[in-house]
Amino acid sequence: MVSLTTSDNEQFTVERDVAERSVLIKQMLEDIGDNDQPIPLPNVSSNVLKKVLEYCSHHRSDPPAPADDAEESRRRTTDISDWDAKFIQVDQEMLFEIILAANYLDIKPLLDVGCKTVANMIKGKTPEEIRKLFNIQNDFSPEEEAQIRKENEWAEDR
Amino acid sequence: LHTSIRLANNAAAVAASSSSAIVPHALVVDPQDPSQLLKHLSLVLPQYTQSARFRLVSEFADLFSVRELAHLSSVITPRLKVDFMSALPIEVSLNILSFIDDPKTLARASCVSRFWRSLVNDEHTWKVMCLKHKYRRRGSSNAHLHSLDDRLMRSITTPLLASSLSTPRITTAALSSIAGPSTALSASHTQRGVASSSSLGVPRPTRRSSTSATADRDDPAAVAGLNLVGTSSLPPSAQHPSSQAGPSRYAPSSTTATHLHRHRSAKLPFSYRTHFKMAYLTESNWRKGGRLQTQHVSADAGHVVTSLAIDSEWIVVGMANSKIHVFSAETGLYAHTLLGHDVLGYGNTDAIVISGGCDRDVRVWDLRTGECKHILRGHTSTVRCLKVLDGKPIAVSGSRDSTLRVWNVETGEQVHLLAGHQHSVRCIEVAGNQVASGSYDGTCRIWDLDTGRCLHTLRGHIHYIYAVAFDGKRVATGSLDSTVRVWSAETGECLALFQGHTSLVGQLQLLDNTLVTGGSDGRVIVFSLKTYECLHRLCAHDNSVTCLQFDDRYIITGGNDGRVKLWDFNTGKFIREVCEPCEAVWKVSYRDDKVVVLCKRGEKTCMDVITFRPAADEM
Repeated sequence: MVSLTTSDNEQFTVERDVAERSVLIKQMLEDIGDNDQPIPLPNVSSNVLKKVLEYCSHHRSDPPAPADDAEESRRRTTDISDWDAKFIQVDQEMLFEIILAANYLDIKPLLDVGCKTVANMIKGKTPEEIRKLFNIQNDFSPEEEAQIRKENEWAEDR
Repeated sequence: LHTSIRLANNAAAVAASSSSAIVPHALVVDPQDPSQLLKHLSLVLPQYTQSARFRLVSEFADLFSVRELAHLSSVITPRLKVDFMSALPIEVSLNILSFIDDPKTLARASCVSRFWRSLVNDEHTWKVMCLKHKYRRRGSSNAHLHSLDDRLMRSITTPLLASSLSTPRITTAALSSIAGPSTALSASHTQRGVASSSSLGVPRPTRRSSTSATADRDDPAAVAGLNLVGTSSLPPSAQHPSSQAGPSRYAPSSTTATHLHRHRSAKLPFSYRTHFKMAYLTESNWRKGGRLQTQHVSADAGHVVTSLAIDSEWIVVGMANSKIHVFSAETGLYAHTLLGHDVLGYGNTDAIVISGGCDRDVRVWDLRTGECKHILRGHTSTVRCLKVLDGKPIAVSGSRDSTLRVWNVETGEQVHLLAGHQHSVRCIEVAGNQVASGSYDGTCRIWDLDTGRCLHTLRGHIHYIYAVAFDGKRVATGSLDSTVRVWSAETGECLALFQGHTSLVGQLQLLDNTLVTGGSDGRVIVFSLKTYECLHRLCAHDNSVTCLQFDDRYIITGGNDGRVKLWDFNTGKFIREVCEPCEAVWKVSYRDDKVVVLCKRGEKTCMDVITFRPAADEM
């Protein structure tokens, strides 16, 4: 069993193979050797770590991530499994936190699920819809905007 | 009192009383102005613990009416949104973009904000897009595509014999674009252009008339072509960029623009975004764009075109009048004429073309110079089909004398005589060190090119074999008995018999696990060689299918009804006609962003070079 301490000082105890879904934790465990000290995770809060561990325990027996030559096949937006899709149905703030945590903890499959989810949110939307979706200010001048629209016209109709 | 104020007041009291550190202020309730209350809250809130604050929020919600909460929700909602792209580390944002595969979404994303724009324009994003869409960087090698090209290269067909002479002419639009940086260069091109247009009839009105002044020199054009061998030694890369103006939309300024654009882009560093845009526009032009790059029209009545081969450097056209015309693939400009034959064999090595015809010889030509390097003698009747091996100086010829001969095109020697057929050899195909030959004796034979031995005789057709395709493992044959057979090259057994056509099957292409056949019944049929099922049945033409070519995206077919049609390979759906209808289409071939159509139009022989590459003003 491995103990993890979050930024808000909560302690989680999980089985080692679950924790080792995180490359960061795996390396820390290797570095410190047999030691029961809890591992501090100052960049992850308890509510996020709870989610992340839920993912890790569901995927605890997944085969190791494919090497880089499988990069191509990984690059598809639609291939989120049913469980993952349901898991990642969270509000934007939580999604953001999960992506940050997956990046920090180095859990590539979870990072990709998060990134694919954001990519899917963007897909097919107009610039105005994207701004609204993410509450982004349009900081282009009208002239710039017209220019940029023109620059990107080529991709519009097919 | 107004409800909300009262409740808010209570809440403040609750909040205040729960903390002993705070001395409650006497709150003056002004029903018009809650600012006192807010000020108080903002002062005391930081002193509460995280969990107390959560509790406060939960209970706060009970204090308001539904309408008020709805308003609260609209105030809060935007704050709960996250601009992922700017809030996440850059590498994570780029990872998000790498999951997007349609350029439309990317283009729109770049219109969102300045930051998004800078992110989307990152080279990484477009490199991934290029990879996903399999748009190769120009010049990069790709073994699969090369072998594909080689296979296409070999889809050269057989002759029909006739006599007399026709000459291609060059659009003056193309010529005008070379007036520019190098006087010597443009002079040589002009000279060549003049020579090749010397036997023109009346120039088309839409073309510039600068050559017409000299066009009345009456050298026989073909001879002029050969006289110009010296000037054609310029490497194609030194030649001017292609004219972007077809005859109907020619404007001098636009060719200048092309020139400047090419000049500039040559100096710019490679950009994946530009590369993607170019490749993407080229692909969408296949479906709904494209422009006539050059058009050559014969001066006289015109002749049947019997062979056509294109690669990245050359377009080679064999005509039934025993002339082979050579054009630059890059510019579409005429290079020279090889005299005496009409049947082609084209190797992808060393710009070699071999030719054959009714004089029974096989000739080896250097395409760069137009020089005849060898005359290979041996056949005792018309040479009907020729192939050159990949990467080996070996050529195979098939003849009406019922034999095949294997030649070394470097030394000019005959390597093997392959005898066994009882009748004319009509078609051959090479793969590895084997050749498959289809004959009017109704059999197909597979030969070992190293030993000259006949490995298998494939019997089954009950009439002439007109077409053969061979990928090293399987042989497909099309016959006048209206059937198509597929054979194992290893065992010689017949694997399948397709009976979808109702007359002669004269067109075949075999690629991976797909066989596409075209018949005199106007039909084109797509067969799976995995399941031996018919995948698509296209009612392609009102008359014979004269040519077809396909890859994993498109099928192009040409017919005696004068149409060139583009089909979706995967769905079998008709997409569009590729060029203006004519009287009859003889040959069509495509490569990369270019389709070459040889046809009969206005009783003349006509070559259209259509390009799908976007024009300079589209980029």
